[in-house]
Amino acid sequence: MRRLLPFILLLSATVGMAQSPCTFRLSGIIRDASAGETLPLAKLELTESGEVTLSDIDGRFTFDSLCSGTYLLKVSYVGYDSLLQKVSIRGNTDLRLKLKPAAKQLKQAEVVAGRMAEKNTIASDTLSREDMERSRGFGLTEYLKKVSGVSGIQTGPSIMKPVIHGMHSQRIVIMNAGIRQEGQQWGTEHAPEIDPFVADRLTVIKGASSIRYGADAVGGVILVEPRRLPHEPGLQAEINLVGMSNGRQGVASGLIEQHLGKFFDLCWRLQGTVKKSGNSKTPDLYLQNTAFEEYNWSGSVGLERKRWGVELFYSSFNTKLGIFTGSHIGNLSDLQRIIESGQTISDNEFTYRIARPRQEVNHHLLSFKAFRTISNVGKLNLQYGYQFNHRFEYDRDRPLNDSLAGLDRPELELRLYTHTADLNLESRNVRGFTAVAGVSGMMQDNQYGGQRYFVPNYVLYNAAAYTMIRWRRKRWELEAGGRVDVRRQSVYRNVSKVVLRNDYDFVNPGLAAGAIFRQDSSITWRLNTGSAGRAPSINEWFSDGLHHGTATYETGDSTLGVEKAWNIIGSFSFRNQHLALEASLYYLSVADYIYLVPAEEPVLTVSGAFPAFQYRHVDAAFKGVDFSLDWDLSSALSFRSRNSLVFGRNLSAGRHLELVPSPRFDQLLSYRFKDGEHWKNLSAGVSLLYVARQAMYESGSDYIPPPPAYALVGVEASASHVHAGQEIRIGLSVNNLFNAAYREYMNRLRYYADEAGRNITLKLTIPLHFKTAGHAHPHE
Amino acid sequence: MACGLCLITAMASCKKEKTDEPAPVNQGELITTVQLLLEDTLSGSIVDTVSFRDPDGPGGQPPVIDSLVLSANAVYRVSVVLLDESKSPVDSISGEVKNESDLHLMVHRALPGSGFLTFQTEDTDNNGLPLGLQAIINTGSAATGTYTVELRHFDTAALKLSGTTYETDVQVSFGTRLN
Repeated sequence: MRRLLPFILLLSATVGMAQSPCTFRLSGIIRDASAGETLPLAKLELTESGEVTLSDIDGRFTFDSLCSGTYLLKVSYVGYDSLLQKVSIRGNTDLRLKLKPAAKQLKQAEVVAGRMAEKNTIASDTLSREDMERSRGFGLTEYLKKVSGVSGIQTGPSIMKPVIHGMHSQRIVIMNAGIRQEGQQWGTEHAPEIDPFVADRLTVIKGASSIRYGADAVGGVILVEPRRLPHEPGLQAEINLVGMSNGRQGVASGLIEQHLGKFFDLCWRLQGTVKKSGNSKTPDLYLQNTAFEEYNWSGSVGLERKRWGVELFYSSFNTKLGIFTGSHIGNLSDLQRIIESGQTISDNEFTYRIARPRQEVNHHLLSFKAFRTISNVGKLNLQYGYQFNHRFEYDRDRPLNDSLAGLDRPELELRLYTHTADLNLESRNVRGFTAVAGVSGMMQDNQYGGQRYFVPNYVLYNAAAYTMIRWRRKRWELEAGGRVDVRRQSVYRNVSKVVLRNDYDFVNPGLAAGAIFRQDSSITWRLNTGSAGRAPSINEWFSDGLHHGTATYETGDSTLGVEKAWNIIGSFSFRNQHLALEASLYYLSVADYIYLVPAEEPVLTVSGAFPAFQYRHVDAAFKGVDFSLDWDLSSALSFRSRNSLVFGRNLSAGRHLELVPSPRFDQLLSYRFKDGEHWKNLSAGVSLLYVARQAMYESGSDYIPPPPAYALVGVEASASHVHAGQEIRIGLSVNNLFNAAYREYMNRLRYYADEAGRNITLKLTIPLHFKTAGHAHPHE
Repeated sequence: MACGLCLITAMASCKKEKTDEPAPVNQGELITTVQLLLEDTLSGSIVDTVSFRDPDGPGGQPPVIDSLVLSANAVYRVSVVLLDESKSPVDSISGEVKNESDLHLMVHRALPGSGFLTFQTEDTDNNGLPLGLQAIINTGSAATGTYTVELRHFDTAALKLSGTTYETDVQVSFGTRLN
């Protein structure tokens, strides 16, 4: 109940909603800078909200219903340089804008470079506003799949984790609110413990070139950035409501934030999400025990001055999720029987009840960050994070002993405590040079409890130092950096009631270099290369046992050393006002890739023989192509395309690697209607997702061959309704419109059942603005 | 926010466990041993006991499996005993299976199929369906083969009736010779 409290507070606060001050109008006229002619049909975009309008035949434009604040207005027009202008809205505002013909391309390149300043040269993708809106209500991985090169690996409908260029789990670092997310990543059935409603921006950095976020990010980095605390005085709130037909899922999320202008520029925010879903449904049947629920909340408070600022952030993620009962098997003959009979569903009904087998996970994150700018030097950043991950796994069967069964204890309990700290200095620009240098430290403590052995206890210390230098001049941008990580991990095991301690020490160096060449205003070339080293995770060293529900016996190897990766990514992008195209090619070589290799002899146990797998080093290589396209076919019609291909190879054995995503092609055609008096941003679209069969498969390496290719059609529509200054954003979408029965290679469910069928989603977003803090109260 | 801070303090203070003193593993229920008690139906005396023993559970030391020698063309009564020998005192699991008889089925089978060994279960569950902790074995003519006992675990009694959806708790095979 306590977890619900902020949400209730939020709801009660909104009852006393005051008239919104968002009634200001931004209008203006656009002219050619040299000739002075007005420019019709220029595209104007408010970058924060993504709101777009076109100038009329006389070059005039209007944005209505704006709140007071500072906006970044982007103006683009064929044959002219794009213009980015900061606009401060305090009342109705009229602007006179002049665009320069594109002959002076250098100017524009500088503008773009200026915006790029925070970014790496490395290929990264930030989800667009539209894609964020489109994914509302779904899990984090569903958002990230909108980026080409990203897919998901799943254990049933409730557990999905992101895969970047074929890599997942420990090979991906997730930075949650600036803190390295440290959950229990010991398997594919452990999803990231993050509420996507906390995220305002999601960025995917692909490849092993992450100097700043950790040497072990062999596959890439995902940045989850909460929305910035408000920087203009006022009180505002937002409510998100999502309903889904499949699973009869309901999601409610809300936030309230305030900038107390009068009191020391202090700002605060409270945010909460409640999510509840029943059993998922394939086209034919309900998947037994696939219900899940989530209760999350976060709060932050910050103080920001010109030269310094501090912010405290806390988030609590709590989930309880069922594991599809049909996927839990006793031994290999059970699995073979299921595959042959094809029918495993014993209990075909809808329920919200979550029975065994199930997981319960709580993740707490506390972060404190501070910055100070130092004249003539730059900006000093300090961040400390504390995380506590508490995980319970309940097996399918309770103990046979009734008194034990009555306790309903988890068979597995894992506690992971992590402290992280990072101190860095970002230098100011000196003749085109900027640099970042920093040190970071981590202390982690893992404790195991429960009935079943999984991984041993350990204490881990990691210290790192890194630096990155960037040089920018005219069309070129070059970057180089290095990082070194020193790690000690002490592992404690209880073997026959004797505690054994083993210490492991590692030194991992990492290097990265990148270059950007802006050929002209529309064409950009990028090349990045980097190396990374990942120390084995605890399960790769010390797993020893039957893996929960997968009918394999996994054995770790405590002699395994560091996995060394090296990658190169080249990309080409073309961008003008109608077309944005990006293609990248990559190659990732991993020496001593840690990999589960089938053992020759099965392990004989009391419940039969199990195929045995051992963690071993092999040499592996991944290569692939990502291609994305955003094309405005006309002022109303646009086409969006995200495609990825990846190949994984076990070089040591000369075989294809298992569980590499198959080729994926995701297309969306959308039509934008003219704004009406009350209805704005009205658009409708149709999407087609085609996922090919994984043809790069060694026959016999899996219990069943990869499932056939599938194509899914979806439709969607969204609009904002503005009435009396109050905006409501509405979205309606149907996934898997034709209720196709299909199976996905990257989902463990493929052995047992089809994927989820048709899903109709309705979303409402209601932003609320209050005049002042005092007026929020209904009696005032 | 203050609430969050209290929570953190509470969390920090409840951290009493010590990482450097890990608990022993596999404290839960475990079947380590399957014993077959073979009784001569004529004399009523136990003529042989064979066992599958894996006291350290799955993995580690491989299990020790006895082989079984029976007379050809004879009749025996077999009783299956399930033990957890990783505990002291040794824990018997057979009683728990009996208590949940309507969710369990012990299947007896042999290879080669025809006439080597034939089985009839003697005990039944609460619903009158076979349980199989006790069975009569009729042996055929002199030959060698394997004898497998398999404990099936059903989610509900109704599933036991349909018989298809279950999890295998025990599956052990004994090399068998008929003299």
